[in-house]
Amino acid sequence: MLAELIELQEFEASEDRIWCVAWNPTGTLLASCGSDKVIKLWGREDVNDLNLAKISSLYSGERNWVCKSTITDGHTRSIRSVAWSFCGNRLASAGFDAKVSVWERDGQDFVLQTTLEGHENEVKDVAFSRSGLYLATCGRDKSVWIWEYNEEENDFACAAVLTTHTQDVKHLKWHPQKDVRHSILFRFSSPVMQVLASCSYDDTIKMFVEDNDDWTCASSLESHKSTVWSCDFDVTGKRLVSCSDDKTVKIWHAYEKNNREGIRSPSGVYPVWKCVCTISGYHTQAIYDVKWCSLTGLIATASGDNAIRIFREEERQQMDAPPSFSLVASNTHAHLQDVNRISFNPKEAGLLASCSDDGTIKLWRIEQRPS
Amino acid sequence: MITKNFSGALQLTDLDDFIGPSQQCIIPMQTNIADNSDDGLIKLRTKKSDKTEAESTPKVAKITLNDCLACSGCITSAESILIDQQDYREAQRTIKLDPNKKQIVLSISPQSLSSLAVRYKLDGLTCARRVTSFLKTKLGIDHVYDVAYARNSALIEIKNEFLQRFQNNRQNLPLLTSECPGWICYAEKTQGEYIIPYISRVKSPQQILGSLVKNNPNENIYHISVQPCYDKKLEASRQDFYNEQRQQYDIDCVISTGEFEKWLVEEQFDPECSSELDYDKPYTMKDENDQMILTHRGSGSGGYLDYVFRSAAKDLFHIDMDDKSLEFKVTRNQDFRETVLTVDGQVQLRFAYAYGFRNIQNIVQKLKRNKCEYDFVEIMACPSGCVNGGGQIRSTDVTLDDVRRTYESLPHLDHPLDLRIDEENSIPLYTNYRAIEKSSSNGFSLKW
Repeated sequence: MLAELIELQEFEASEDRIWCVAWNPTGTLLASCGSDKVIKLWGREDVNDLNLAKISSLYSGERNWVCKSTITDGHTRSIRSVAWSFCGNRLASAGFDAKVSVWERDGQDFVLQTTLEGHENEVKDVAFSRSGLYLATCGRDKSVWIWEYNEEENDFACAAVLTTHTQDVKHLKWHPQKDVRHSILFRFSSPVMQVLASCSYDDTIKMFVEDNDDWTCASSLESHKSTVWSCDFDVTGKRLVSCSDDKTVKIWHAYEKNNREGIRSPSGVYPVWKCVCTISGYHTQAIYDVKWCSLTGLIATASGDNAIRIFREEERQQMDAPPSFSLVASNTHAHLQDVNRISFNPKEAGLLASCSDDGTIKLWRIEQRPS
Repeated sequence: MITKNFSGALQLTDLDDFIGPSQQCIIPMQTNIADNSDDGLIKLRTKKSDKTEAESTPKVAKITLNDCLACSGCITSAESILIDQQDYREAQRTIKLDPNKKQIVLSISPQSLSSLAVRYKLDGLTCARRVTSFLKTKLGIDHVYDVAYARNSALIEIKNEFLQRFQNNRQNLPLLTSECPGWICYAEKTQGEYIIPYISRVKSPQQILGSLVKNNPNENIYHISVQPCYDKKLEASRQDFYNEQRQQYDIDCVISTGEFEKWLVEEQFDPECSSELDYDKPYTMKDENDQMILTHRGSGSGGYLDYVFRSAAKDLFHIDMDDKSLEFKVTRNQDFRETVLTVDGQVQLRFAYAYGFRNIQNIVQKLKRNKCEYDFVEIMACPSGCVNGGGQIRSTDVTLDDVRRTYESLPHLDHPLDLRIDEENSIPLYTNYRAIEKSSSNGFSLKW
């Protein structure tokens, strides 16, 4: 192994399953949610509150994360997912009660800003666009909704309901490229195209783009043989990693129009996504989450086989050789039950959070050894 | 992309603004539970295994459109089950098997006419006359009527309804139009009690015409309605429009413009054939030169907003808007536009078009939060409204722009005719809506 996955700290967060963990953009707070209908925010314990002996013990092991606050009044059923806005001042939660709640920072606390209703039943995921102008939600009713923020009303309005998926939609991910708030000048020139990726029980990933004043499906990524549980873009947004019930991880590459390789886009306008690498043989159960670290380029997976695995891209000998990834670290007993979600800290390279059906949240550090 | 037929809150093959059947139809499952002397155990599956393990296949149950209307399982239903109940072949069979016993009536909506006219490269009037002639001389249809005739009553009633609510302390405003059955279905199934008081109780032109045509109890009539919309099939199947005395629905069969066109092709309709006939009296509109008039002023969805706005300006604020065109402000998108009446710097009336499912959502949410500033909303489930209905002809040579232009160039009335349906022959012009409770059986088919 070329790296080590070191467990830093474990929280017994709930009696019930923990569905999701998500770091805020500055990496100072970790939000979690689960079947207990509670959102918890975890942060480093203030040094002022500690005695010296404790400080020294903490610093040796970095075990100084504690639950800072708890939000209990948002949902009447399981909370499947939480997401931060890129400004860090908003938090959104997706509930099996068909509701999406948006929370706004008020000092140290988060207060309910608005509840978005419209999904017919269980909402599975929620995600803010880079600028915070859009919020995307998806769920069991097979639809993806895009909500647009209106500053005047300080509320979100429905901008699109996309029903391209033929089954339950599991996960959403906005392209990392920064979107621009609409102004009169940009309204028609639209300098940056918004792209949203969605993963579904219909075994596909779809890319949605804003087109005039509506949204359309620009491409469908078809290669997985079963439910696609999650996906993530790399830091450039030119590649995507996805994971599936078929126990594989796939790497996709976007070929822009007029690409060197001469790959034609069926639409002629939107880039075409091709699967360029399949990682198989490592996972023995469904893979529920995959993340592509923007700081280290490492890929982490969370699986139904209770394991967390870390993959690193191998250096290519030739420029146009297909990419390949090798397993550099793993813990096959990371949790006692399914690992549902993982999250790379966006500021501290190598810091990883995971959560599980066993009701615990764990913090990990990935230590890479020079190869 | 899979072509879904019902609009539900609509779908077009090239647009995404649509709610499709949202989950598997649960009616057969319920039947299964009732019929089966099962042990009553709920079969468990592992939490995330999407594939259900060896569940016994439920017995196939016959589902009627009525079952669908009463079920909260999905918003619109498995169209394959539904379409065969109201299919043009069904109409064909009825005409062929029963040539003498029944009077066959076919009525055409102006939006369907516009789609056909574009298909046949004819103007609306010529198209209406050629199709009418063909239907009557070649297909043995006894009467061909204009759905827009019944719209006169719908427009006047909805205006009355609006004025009444406005003058009654603006009670239950905004008034939401009820012409669109996709929207009504959505409202009843998912929005529950709070939304219903806002919905106009005036029957749609299709159903008003249905009542008018079958008003004479001595005639045995089979009524086919040609509509731009599959959801009109659901509307015609509402229990409210079942005539107990006749043991019949007011409208027997609704066929979409696309189905109608297929039928015409099968029967070898020739659009070049110059044999022409007007729609039949009495359910047609004529000008002083006996020339047919085919629609009303305003939107391609019936002109409800246009007429009610002008009437309200006149009756409530003594402002005559007759010669002016209404000015609209695009709010969120082209399908959400509003117009206001300002008197002495004060906004007195605020009306809006809200077309397409996303805009329905925004209206519904505004209402839920008591933040709806509108007095009247013309709501349609399809983006661009009924000219773009889910049942219109889908073909590269029939574009929405052409259909809209053709609709706009149909000879139209600025004011609806006051039909003064006499007391003796009065027909009900109003109907009711009811919230459909969420079925508890939904809970059993959860998939994470």
